[in-house]
Amino acid sequence: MSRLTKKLPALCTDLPLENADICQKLNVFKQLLTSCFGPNGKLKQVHNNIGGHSVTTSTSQVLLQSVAPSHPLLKFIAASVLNHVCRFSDCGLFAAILCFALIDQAKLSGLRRNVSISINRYLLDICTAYLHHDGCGCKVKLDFSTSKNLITLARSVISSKPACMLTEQEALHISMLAVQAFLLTVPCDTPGNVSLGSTLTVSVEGPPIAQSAVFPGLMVEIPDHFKLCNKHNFQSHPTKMVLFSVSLSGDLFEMDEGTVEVYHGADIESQIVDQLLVLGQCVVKDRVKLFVCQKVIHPVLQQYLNQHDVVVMERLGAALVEPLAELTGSQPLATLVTTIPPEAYGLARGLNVKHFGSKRMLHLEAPGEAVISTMVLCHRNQTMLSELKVVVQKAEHVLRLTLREPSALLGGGCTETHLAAYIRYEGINKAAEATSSLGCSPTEYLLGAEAFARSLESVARALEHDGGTPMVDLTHGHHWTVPVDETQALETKPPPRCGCGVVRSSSVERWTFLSTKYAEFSPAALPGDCAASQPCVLDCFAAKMNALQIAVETANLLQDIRYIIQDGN
Amino acid sequence: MQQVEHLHLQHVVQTVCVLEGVILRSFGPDGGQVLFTRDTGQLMLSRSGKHILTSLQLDHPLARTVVECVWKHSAVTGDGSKTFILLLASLLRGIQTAASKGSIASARHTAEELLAFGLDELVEVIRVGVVPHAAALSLESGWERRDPEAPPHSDAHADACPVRRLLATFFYTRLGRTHSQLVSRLTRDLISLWSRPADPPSLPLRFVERNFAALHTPVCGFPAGGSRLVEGQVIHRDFATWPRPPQPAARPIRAVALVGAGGSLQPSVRSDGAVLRVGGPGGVPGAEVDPEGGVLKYSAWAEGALAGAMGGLRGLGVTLLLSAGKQSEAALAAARRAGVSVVECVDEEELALFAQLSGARPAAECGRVGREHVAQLTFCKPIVLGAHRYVHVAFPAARPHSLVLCGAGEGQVEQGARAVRDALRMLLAMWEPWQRATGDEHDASRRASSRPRTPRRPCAETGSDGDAPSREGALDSRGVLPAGGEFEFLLHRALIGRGQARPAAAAPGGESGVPALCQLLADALLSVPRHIYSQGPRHFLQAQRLSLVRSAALCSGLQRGGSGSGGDGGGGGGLRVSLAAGEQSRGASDAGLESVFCKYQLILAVLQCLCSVLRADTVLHVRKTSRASPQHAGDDDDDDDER
Repeated sequence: MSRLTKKLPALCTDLPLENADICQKLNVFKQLLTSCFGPNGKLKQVHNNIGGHSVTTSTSQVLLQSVAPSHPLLKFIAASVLNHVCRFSDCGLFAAILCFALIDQAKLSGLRRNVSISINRYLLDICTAYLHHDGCGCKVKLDFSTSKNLITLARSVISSKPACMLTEQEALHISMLAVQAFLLTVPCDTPGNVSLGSTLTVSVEGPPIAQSAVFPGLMVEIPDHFKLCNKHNFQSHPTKMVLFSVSLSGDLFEMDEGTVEVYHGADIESQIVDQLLVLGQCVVKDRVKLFVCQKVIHPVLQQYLNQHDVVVMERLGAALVEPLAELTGSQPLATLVTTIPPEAYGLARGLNVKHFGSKRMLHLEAPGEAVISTMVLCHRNQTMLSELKVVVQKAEHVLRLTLREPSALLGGGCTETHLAAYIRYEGINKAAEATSSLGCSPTEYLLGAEAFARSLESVARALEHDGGTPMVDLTHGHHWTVPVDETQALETKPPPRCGCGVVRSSSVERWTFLSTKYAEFSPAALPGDCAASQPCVLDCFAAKMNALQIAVETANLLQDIRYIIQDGN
Repeated sequence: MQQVEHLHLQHVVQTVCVLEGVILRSFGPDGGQVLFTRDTGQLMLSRSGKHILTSLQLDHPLARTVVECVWKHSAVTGDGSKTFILLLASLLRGIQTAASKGSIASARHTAEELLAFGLDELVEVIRVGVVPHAAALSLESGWERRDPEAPPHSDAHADACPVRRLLATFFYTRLGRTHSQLVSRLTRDLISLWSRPADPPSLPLRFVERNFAALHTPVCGFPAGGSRLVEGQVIHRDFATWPRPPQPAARPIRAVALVGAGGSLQPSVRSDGAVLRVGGPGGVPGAEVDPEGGVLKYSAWAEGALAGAMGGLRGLGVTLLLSAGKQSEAALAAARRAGVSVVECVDEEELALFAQLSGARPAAECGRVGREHVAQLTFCKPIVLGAHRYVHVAFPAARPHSLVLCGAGEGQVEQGARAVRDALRMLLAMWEPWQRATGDEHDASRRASSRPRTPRRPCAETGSDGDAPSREGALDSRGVLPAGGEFEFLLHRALIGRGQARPAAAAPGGESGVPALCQLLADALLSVPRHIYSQGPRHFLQAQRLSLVRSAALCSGLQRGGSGSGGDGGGGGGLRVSLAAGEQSRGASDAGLESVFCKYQLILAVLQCLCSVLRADTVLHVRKTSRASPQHAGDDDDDDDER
């Protein structure tokens, strides 16, 4: 019986965004996230107070999961960002920073909340329409006939996470592996609906990064005493195998509830072991050469199988059963009584043992084409390795997203500044139309558009952490960064390339400092010769698109919150 | 010790005004959201007055009475909780100014008179003063041309449908401006896709409202614009086994739903109390004595039975099994071998809906599946929605559709789902008012009178409650008016007119006659549009003027149209005229609609609440005594612990 206690009245906060204390909290959180952004972002070490292991990271996912904000408003933003990252893997910090910037700018603009919300919404629609449009100046069509852009995309994801501690060479290596693994999951000769395969990741601490590799098929960790007998030539011939998902340890097998009466003198174990041996005989008779069990195998059965030159593998784990069954075409068996139906057997090829640092792994390949591959990731220590694992999975997800929408956005802050320039330009053009449909005055609309553009620019500015000066060119609206010691010499020596690497300084005539007023211009799409030059930073289109919408929606909702009620029970 | 707190009118007014202050933050077109954290730490967003008030966890008994009244009211109509508090507060303020020396007795008297007036005459006032301006809403006209396959209309284009506009107004007050158009379109389409021409319009409404939990899927992490309708039913579980390679989609899929405790594929003799004897007589009860193979024999028998059950399913051509319970590992393996896809732990409600849609009876036991249990499906495939993979099925006979609601976070999605459900409730209240509303009203009054601190209700009222339906029946429950204070303006004028028309009506012994009551109610009503146009008094006056212009135009229109047109036709004309005027003033209203009937019910509920609030004169803070209920020994322990 639950005890009846008096409920505490709830704690209420009126107009939270005008509360100085809450604004301060928002600001701290914003700075925390902003400082992590981009390839030069600062790392965060998270310890908890009871001495668990510490995390070093700069990715939004890990950071927001380990740092649980206490204030409901912050929780709300964190939940939105986390949900986005769970779906799209990338652009989490972008969404968070843009959301905070929108809130700040709306406050600075002094617009009424409802007006600012509807203007933001309107401008978001303009942005999404522009980004989906074919003539969009900051979009790159992905060409699947060459892996160049795919590698660039993967590398942008990987190099924007500095906690992996990769050199440029290593980052390139890992990006190539990610692309390779992605390509291995795409089936070649399946007509009709294609279902993608999967990549399993195995992490090994110790060996240098250069030893990381992708293998088709599965890599299963094996104990030290495991031996492959050399009598068989596993390399050339497919091996017949069987897979059990039930325990073969000789215990009383799975039974539903009910009473069991054991009579004196009854030896259940020997009964079951006998049955196991019958099973072994059956397997040997059927010329099975590989015997795999998800759980434990009784030593007697192991011994028996070993004597008959069957390779035995136990304690596979539930996670690997499904991929192994798919790889070999076998059906996991859950009983040990009946004879094994012939279609339950599978085939494996190319059994061999590989060494990675301290780990030994058995490599299994599919008899034909299979869409399962394993990526072995090596890194020097555990912290970096766990971050690398997260990052590689993100990169792979991003690559998969390109299949749905085969384009990418220019990275390095160029998309943001370009969009901001477009909003300013389009804002003037559509002012009359917008004011009539939104029911606000032209002044309000222009203020709102300026606030939106500035918010976008502030995301580009957040990429710089070392005091460099962010600039924007007045032709394409791309983002340029002048290192801290060269600001004076801007007129004479502009930086060689813009943030995404597409525009060279020779093709641009005028720059201005970011977030200064400039005359509106229509940001030009890339001319033909520029498009020939490869962008060196690309962002995932689907992820950024969703992040943009999530950020604006969350910022709008946050501005709309007039009251907070906290249940303190 | 007992604490005694004497209630003054001032206290009552103060308490309600505090509630009003909270509510005002999210009232009207300029209102915003309220963010909650639950005691579980879960975040929740809402603009619904009912939710805001209940989450406050109020302490004061008076405030709790008010919240309870609001709760009861909005459980019926799904709407109007914020207006409830506003009206209550401004009525109380009006009474306070009118009452001499703030005495609660005279206030109580006024309140009772108001209630009597509301029950007896209000419906007539509305019928004369408001209904001619309203148009009758019909569900059918809203979507007669809707083709399920047609691409969704653009938001601007579909604006003409009145149901859609009614919904848009509702969602405006619940979700905010940005999503109201989209969600109202989805809701309208959902209802229209479920309705069949032969059915009465309330049937699909009731069906969707009842099965709403099974008919919508919340998805986090996507912008709200991604919300959509999908054909078929989404079963909120993933496949436990999914045959490889996937079945060809062309042939019809046969499915069986298994419910109840006997729904396990694994046969279990022993659950009936039979005992497995090991080393003794044989495993299966009744089998011959076998000292050696008891265990194995049993499991061999079990496996045989499993294979038999699978074979039975295969014989019927079943390839999909939906099970309410969990299946054993062996059963899943057997199903995998037999090429049967299994979905386990399916919600009972979803299975019931599945059975209803497919027309096949759910089977209670796997061994006894017959033809009548087998359902035909047009497809059955996995569908990935957000983080989860679900099973998506469609039926050849019915064309059901499910709603997929997207949002950036859980709070937003949940808010959307709640709003859609309340909208359905509101429509239901308009379409079948008597099955629901009266019953609940009686219920509410009964419960209110059983509350410990409210005195017994006078007989006069309970009596008048009884014959309320006949009088309220005079109001067409489907009348709608343009949103944005139109109802309040009209009723305000009608009440003033009523008061002036009967100046001589003798005040029955009390100090306030009908004119004073009318004036009081009329003034209180105006506070609602005053808060809607809270940007400034100019907007409010403008809206009031426009409303006046509209009704003047209507009157002249009616005169021109001649006396031949009945109430209904005149109503339609009125709406046309008033909407034309409404187009000129696309201010906060956005030419949405609201229901006259819901508003009428709201006023009645407010008047009843007013009475019950004013009847109390003392609050006693009682401590629970330890031996209050000697028959519950457990209570004593609890109380002792608390001290």
